[in-house]
Amino acid sequence: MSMILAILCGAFGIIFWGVIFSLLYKGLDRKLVARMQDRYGPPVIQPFRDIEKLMLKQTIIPKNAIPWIFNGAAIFALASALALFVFIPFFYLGSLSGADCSVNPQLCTFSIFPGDLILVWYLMLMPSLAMVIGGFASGSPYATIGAQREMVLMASYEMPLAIASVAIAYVLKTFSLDAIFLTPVWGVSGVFGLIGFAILFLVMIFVIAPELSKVPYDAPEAETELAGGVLAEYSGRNLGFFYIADAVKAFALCSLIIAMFFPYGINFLVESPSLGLILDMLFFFLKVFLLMLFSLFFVRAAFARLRIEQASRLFLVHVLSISLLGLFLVVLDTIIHIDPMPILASLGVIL
Amino acid sequence: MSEFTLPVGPVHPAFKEPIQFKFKIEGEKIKSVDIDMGYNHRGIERAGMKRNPVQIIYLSERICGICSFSHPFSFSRAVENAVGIEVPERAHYIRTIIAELERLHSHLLWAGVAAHEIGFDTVLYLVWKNREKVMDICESITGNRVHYGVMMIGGVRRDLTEEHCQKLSKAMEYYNETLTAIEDVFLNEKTIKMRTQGIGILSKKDALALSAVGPTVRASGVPKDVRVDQPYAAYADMDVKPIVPEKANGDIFDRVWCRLVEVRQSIQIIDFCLQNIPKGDTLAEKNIVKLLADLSQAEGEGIGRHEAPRGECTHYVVLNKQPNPFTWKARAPTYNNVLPWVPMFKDAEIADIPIISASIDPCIACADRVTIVENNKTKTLNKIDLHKKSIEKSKRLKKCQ
Repeated sequence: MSMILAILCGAFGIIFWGVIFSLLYKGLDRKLVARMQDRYGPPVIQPFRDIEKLMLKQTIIPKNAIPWIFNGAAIFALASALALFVFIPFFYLGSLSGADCSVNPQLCTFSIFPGDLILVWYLMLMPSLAMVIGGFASGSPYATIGAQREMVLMASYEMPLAIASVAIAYVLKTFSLDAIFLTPVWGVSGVFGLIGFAILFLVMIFVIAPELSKVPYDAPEAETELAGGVLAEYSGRNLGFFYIADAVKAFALCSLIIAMFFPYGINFLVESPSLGLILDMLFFFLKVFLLMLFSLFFVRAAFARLRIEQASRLFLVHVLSISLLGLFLVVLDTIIHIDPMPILASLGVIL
Repeated sequence: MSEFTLPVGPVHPAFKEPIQFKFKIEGEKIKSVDIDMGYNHRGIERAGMKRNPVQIIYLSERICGICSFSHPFSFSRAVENAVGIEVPERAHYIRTIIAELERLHSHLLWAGVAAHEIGFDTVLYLVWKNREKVMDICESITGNRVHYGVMMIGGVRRDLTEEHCQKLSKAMEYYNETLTAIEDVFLNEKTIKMRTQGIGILSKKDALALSAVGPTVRASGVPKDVRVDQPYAAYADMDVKPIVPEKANGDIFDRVWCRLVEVRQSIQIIDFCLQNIPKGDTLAEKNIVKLLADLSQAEGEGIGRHEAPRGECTHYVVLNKQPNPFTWKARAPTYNNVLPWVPMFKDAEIADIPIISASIDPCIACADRVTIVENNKTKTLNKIDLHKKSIEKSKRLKKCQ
């Protein structure tokens, strides 16, 4: 009983703090992009004020909408986005819990439930899917076009994402997130594998922006074309739910990519395990910030919005072929394994 | 996929002013478009016909906030043309300088709006930050940032001082430097090219048939520019060439190019004016009471043309020995550029609607002065009705003369 209570408390706790940090990162996003564009921008806590305001405002359901789908989509999007937090391993807990990681990987990572890569990708897809359903259900032509575009975009970027996940699972022979977190792919692959995973890591960074429908891939929400697209008819509490879901998704996606590709911590710097965990946490937030900076903030400030068919072609042709090349190299590595250590040593790199 | 109607406007984030497009959409493709104007009708011409010409100058500035020098310029030229007032040489140069400053800020404003329409907000802020300088210059020369209030029939109300000239030439140096960055972004940035090249094409044939004006027609390869075709003010003293792209495709990219080169041209024109501005009076008739008395005794009709930033702006005035003009008709450049929208939108995509509609630099406030409301019902006129109306009006005008 106490175990269940602990898990429940842990789940709610992590979701609560997850939402707080997601909104803070959103605030950072707005402030930093504003500075890049030579504006002052809102204060970092602006997203909290937005949420407060949206929750207080009247929720209008359009006449043409199907109310239960229209409202349900918003709740569905938020619920699935929040559920992400309980599966993603954020930090390494091995030194604190003292458990044997090879026997009991669950106790070594900061995740409430043993997560699975496939499950997490499905949960990641849900908010977008909910937006599509809500868009169609709202009965507005803008939302309908936005929903169509969102579907096209989803179909375009999912393939490279799946390829990157499959490559990792192929090498580690598991989809378990804890196992992936505890065994970084870089340690187990040869020269070809390293190059392949580097390519796949870049592909993942590239896919973050369309996954979150941010400029230049914000065609589904294009303000000047579709007046907000899928979210055109949403207001008040429902819009607030989508707003939180969007922020949460950005944070969770970056955490997931870090867990998949760069789970290293800096707890070896100090003796004390609890101090090590704090250092790990700070390092993790720095990693998330850097990933967002390069994959979202800079990109958002530096490009114009692509048309939907341009974005779709970019992902289905170019990014897909690059990620296939990465997968090919990873598979090649399992056939011809060249140990990278002698090569690195000959280049003068000491590890 | 079935066809459905997508109404865009009258209130839509892509438009800064009310206008409605009804697009027939098939998937993401536009099959046809119906343009519905008349949401911004204010009856300015009618109001003007109840005021004297000097008051109309004030009113014509309020036709549009961006062309707030072009409209009074055209109107003054129309009155001067009707009465035969000789404008002093120095006033010609000051008018030219302010007109070119207006072109500069209008084109920069447009560049920012265009960037916003394709989702490139960083460029919007870059360009609008740049635009502040020319607004400040306008304020220091004329006293106002937007509605300058400097035009007067027979000249200008304020003279340029030595300090103004220095400020101006410094500002022009500033623009010569900073424009390089803006040009670089617009002409070389990959995503801007992807969104503007080969989109919203207006062929030379269509441009001529639909009588487009301004950068819209020049980008289609027609060298049409009032400053060259009928030189006026100080333009006659210098060598102004219409900006036409070498290999004109008539797409949005060409229109962007045209406007950017025109900004450079404006800087050159202002520099030329500053170097060659003659000394002398700035107003033909300084006594406003005498001027109004002269105007109320005058008879005749006059046309004033001016190449506004958006294209040719024409004003027509009939004076009838009355204090107020008998007729005042303003034709803004956007009025000509509405019909060219139709071939531009043909087979375009929904994503291109904002940038295509912005590409002619529409000013609905300028153009919207032709709605008929009878018994609280808006009436749409067809070609035959309009022809009949035009004949009626011509008869009325002939009768009075």
